[in-house]
Amino acid sequence: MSLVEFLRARRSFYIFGSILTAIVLSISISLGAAMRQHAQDTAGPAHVTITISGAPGSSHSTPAHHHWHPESFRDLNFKIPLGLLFGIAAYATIILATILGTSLNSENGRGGFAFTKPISRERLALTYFAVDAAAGVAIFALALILCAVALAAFGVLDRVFLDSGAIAVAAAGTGAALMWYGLLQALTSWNRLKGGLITGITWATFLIVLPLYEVTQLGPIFHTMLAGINYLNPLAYYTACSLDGQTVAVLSQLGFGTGQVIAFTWTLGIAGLAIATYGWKQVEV
Amino acid sequence: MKTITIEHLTKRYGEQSAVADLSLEIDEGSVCGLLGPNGSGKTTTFKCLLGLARPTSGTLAVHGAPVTPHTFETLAYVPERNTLYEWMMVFELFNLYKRTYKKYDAARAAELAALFKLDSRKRIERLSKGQQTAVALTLAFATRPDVLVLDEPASGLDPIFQRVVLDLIIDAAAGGATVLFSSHQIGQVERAADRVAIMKDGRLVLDGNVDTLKGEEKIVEAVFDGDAFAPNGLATDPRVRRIERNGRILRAYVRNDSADVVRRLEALGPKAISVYDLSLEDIFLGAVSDTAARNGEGI
Amino acid sequence: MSAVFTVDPGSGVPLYLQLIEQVKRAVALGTLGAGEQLPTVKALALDLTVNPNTVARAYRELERDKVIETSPGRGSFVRSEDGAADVRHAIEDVGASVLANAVREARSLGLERDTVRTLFERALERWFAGSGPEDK
Repeated sequence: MSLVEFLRARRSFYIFGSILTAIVLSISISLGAAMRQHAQDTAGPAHVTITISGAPGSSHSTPAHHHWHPESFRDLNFKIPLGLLFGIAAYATIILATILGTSLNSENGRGGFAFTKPISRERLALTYFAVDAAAGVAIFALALILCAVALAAFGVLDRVFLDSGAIAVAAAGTGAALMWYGLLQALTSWNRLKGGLITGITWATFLIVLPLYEVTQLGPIFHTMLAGINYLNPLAYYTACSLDGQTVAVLSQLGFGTGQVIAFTWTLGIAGLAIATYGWKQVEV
Repeated sequence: MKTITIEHLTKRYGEQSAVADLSLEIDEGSVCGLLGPNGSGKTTTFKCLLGLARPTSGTLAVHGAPVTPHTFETLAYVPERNTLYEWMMVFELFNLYKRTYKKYDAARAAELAALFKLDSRKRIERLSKGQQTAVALTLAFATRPDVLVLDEPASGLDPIFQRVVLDLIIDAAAGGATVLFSSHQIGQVERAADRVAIMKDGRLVLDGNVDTLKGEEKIVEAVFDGDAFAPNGLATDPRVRRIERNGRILRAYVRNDSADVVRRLEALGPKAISVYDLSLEDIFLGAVSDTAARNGEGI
Repeated sequence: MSAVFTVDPGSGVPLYLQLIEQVKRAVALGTLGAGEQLPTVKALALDLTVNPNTVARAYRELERDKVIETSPGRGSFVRSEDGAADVRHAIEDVGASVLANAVREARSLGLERDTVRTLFERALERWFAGSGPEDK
């Protein structure tokens, strides 16, 4: 049955990977063209701002801004920490994780196809988790490669260096992906709800509703409730990456340090998968 | 040796009883056709048997033990609705089964795919409902199962392929497999099955060997000179399922010992008396009609 | 190898009884000769699209009626000459049940015994014309 999840994850990977590739390549090409154009006529400074941020409007977040001035771009003596690329790749992983996060649920509407095979549901669940994790690793790698391609297009790939916070940022970012994945599995494994709908609702909640609760007047009860729910929001843990001197650190809306973000997201993610597996074992189809 | 044992199965969804106190035992090598109107609890019974739904009460066993993942090494289930992965290619499903089942017979799968004229390069969602059923059946039979549980196996198939399905069931039974299948088509049951079970409103209203039932179930028809009346006690006789009166004609639907009923009617001096055989269809309709359900309880 | 049997699963007559009668008929008509092999249970079940246990039941009863004999590993055969009396007996069984049905039907129409007898004689004349009375 691992083949089922492999094929399913591969489809999602292909579709999402192609979209990602298309976006990155088109931006790289157009920016590269703009730079070449600019180098030729040097009229007026082109100003490109790249912001990496998960939850817009969150008050704690300080998105990392990099101001690139193309005319002096290659002359600048700057370096690019690898952690920054890891931070970007984590967002791609988060998106794929939410697409794959209803993989157990997608078996529930099939009249027990998966449950009438000589494999226990627990083993089946673990198999699916493993395949989805592999797809997550693959999309993380693809995103890194795309970053490298984009940097190479600007001729600055050689500026990348391994910073001290790189591994921690990668762990926190993939932790956020795992947490979201675990949450979706726990929400959908035990029922026959439409998985895609639940995924969409979590996106709307985590990306729009929750970031707004602090700036909107809702009354203390709603405020407390939403603040509570926000502890289930992976984007509240892993809000943005910030350049901190020579290294990269995680900015958390909840005010956690990178280490805490790693600990909490991974723990919650694994707990979600445990709950999901238990729920899947009970489900009647 | 009993291959499938269901004892006092009850399954309630909320207040609604889908199956009520159903007991059914199927011998090894037997083919049991489960008949019943829509919503009579056939699919729920299958789901409880296979562990897809938890019984409210009762015990279920295959080969004398509750169903575990190991059971599915040799038990194939084809559900009523098409539940295959619609985004998969047919050959990908074949690969899946090859990896999943130790006993998977690739040659048999190819043979059946050819028989059903399946194009293995097609995506499941591009196949007709009948072809999807054919894929599900091909996969099930290619695992060379000892036990087959088939929910409406021939639905959506044209008459030629329906006959193929019957042949597959017969072939499996001749090889010693035990088959439990549900159907809306009595013709399929009277051909492929040696055993019939009839459900109504979650209850088993009739169960037995097809030929034995046919041999036992008769209509005794008596024509009288005056208005027909039934002798005392005939209507409540456990052997009499129901009595119909139409002017001078009296029809008694009798199970077992129709000769005795004939003798009792003859004592009333009818003008003529005849005994008719009941086809399985007559027996089925009699069993699921409302009056019969009352008389038939406990049979 | 196989004589072609036809059965009607939709009728009210049990299938195994239909099969028994078919085999006895075939033996009576000589389409199945003494010592001739019958199809295997599986082959006949697939040929007629009927349940194999039903076919097996018919074969068991035919064996009990001494119409056929089955040896393990070899198959089922019509009894050879030494069993001829039993076969003859089996054929008479078929005839008796056919006639009993006809008489019952006639009676259920409300016909009197003498009328039935007259009609029966007339039928004999028609079908046994020229064979002489020793046939009945």
